[in-house]
Amino acid sequence: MTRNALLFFCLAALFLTGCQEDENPTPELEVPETYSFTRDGASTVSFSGQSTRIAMAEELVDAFQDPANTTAELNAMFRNEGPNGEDVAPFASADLNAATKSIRSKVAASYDYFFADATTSAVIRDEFDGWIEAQVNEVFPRWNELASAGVAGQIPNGSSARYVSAQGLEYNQVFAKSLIGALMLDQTVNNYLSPQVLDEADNRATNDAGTLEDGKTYTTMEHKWDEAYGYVFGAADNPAEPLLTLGDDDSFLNEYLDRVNDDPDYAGIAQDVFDAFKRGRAAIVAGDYAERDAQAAIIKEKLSKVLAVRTIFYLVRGAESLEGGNAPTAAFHALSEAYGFLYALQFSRNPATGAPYLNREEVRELQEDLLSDGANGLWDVTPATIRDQASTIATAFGLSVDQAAD
Amino acid sequence: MIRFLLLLLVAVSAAGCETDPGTSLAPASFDRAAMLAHWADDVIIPAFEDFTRDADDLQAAATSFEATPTAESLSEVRTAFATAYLGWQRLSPFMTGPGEDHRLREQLNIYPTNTARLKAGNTGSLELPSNTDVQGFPALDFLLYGTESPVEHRGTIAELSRRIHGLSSAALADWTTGGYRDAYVAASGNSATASVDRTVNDFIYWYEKYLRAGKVGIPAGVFSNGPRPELAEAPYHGGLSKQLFLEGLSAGRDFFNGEPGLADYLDALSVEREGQALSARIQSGFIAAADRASGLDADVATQVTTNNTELLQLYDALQANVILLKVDMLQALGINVDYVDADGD
Repeated sequence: MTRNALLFFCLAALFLTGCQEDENPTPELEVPETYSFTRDGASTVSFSGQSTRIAMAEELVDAFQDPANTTAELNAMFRNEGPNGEDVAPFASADLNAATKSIRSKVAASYDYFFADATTSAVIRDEFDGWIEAQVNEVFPRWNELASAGVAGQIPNGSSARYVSAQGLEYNQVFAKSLIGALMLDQTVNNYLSPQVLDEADNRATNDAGTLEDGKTYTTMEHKWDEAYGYVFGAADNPAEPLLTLGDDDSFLNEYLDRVNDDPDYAGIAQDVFDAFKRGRAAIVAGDYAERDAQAAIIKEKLSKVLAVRTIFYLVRGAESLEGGNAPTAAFHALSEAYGFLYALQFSRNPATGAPYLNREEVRELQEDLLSDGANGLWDVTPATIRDQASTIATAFGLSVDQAAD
Repeated sequence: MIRFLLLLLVAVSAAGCETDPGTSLAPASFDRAAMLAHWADDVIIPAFEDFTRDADDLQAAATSFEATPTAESLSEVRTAFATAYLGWQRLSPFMTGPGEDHRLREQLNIYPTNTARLKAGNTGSLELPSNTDVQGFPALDFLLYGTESPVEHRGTIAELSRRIHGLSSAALADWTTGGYRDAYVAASGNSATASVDRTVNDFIYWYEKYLRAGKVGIPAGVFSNGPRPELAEAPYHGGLSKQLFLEGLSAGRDFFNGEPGLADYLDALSVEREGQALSARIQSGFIAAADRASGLDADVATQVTTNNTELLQLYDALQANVILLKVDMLQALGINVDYVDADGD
């Protein structure tokens, strides 16, 4: 391990030296070392709503693993309100109970993708509701039973157990990884980094004039950009220097940015994302909106690719397990992650086209194919089907399966 | 990523040494099939047979303790427990195939055991993966030595003992009458799924995770903030864990040195490191670890609290061989590591 770690650092150093761009900074752009921006000595950075939703999502995903929970209880956590809109207190954390934010209201809710498509947004939210119901109605009743082909229950995971549907899916994984796309990625790349949102109403004029929001230290445009940042780094111990604890701060976008960054083929991607956030924010302070959008494009592409790399990674891991002659169940965890990440890809954003690298229809078709080699979903899936999917995704995102898989 | 790093490491170290991995794979002079036959017939199947016999003795003793709970029958169960637990150590490195299929290691020796659930009783089907921590030797250790009255738990003690025997018998039957032995010896190629690659990977995995980390590193606190005596093996018996470790170490050393075995294989390829045969260096590593362990308290949990430094030194001695086995040996034999550290989620 120590040797690997050492090697990794050497390699990372090589990469970093090799990839340093000849930056061509606009002379007046002052980019700080950390994500710290101030006005008259006070910080102008704020993204508490994002940190709150990430924390709520952590509790909700954990609650998938307690069979004592009811659909109503899980729904209350997902919505932070009761069926009739009443106030609820479903969280362990008092702060979260006091908060008025809700996860579900921000699922598939970006300006660019859903402002004019409430229909699809509603369908997507229903799909999340469906995974909650399925966990409670299909998996919880079989919590203390063995799973078999076509029957929900436990499968072995080393010395412990995992809990799968009749098709072999872990709904907690499907829900969590899909949420990375539908909440964290969608809000970041298709909402807060969108010129439609950043430049809404008179945001440019107020930003140029330094007009602050009522009772706040920031302009509206500054705040929008910070909200994008918050979905990636908002759970960090020290959000001004989030790379210090990257991967340990949440189980969502932050964690998987770290995982991909740990693959030498993508070493430095976390730094690239962080630098683009800083530089774009500095461009807003300087009123340089072309530079802001150039940095936003970097973030959109890199974060989208993070999710694609992880999809491919888990697909190949599942295929390798099956090819190694292991029981089908040994691949279920990786394939459940892949299934969720695959769903997340419909929220990806190719800055060159303004569209996802794989659209909803394509993603849903791939998901269906993964479960259609036989009657029982993952119990029957073949390595060939899985590898086909990995290569389809790699092609769509301009990635290499081999690089993503190791 | 780990695998990628390993490849890189291989490339880097290959550049600096005599052996050329491109041509070093299995020369005509080394018969892999003969090595596999030796492993199957002289090492693995005998280890299964010996252990299954010990487990049979244990279930017999536990069943009579269940029927007639006396001080004498309790003492017999305890003796049979220690014998079978030691026998298990000689089998644990060989989970390739049937052992893995029956999840033998997971169901026989995952510790710490869940004492709260064991005391509460009525844990449900032992076949459930969620019940691996209320069965096997660690659960028996608690029920036989960690409770006020083992008699009260004699039903569970008997049931758990019978399950150990049942699992071991089933895996042994797969090896012999089930035909796994012949398929195992026939798969003598060098692909990732061939028997040599799988056996060696499983062996190194055992050495790294179960011998080095499980028995020594974890209780010594190598992976935590400070020592964790409660995570030692057989903590309730209080005088068995060093012996369990030594038995495992000895099984590993015998496997490495068996003829024909890995030491021969490396010698046939003339693999050297720093002017010395790699086989001899690994052999010295096993001896150094045994020497380090000889002065320890019979109970690892006690050793942790009295002088943990000695246990850390044992860990370091074991660690030296991880590198030689997992990096140098695998490179020389052209075997890829087939496991990665757990994903953690």
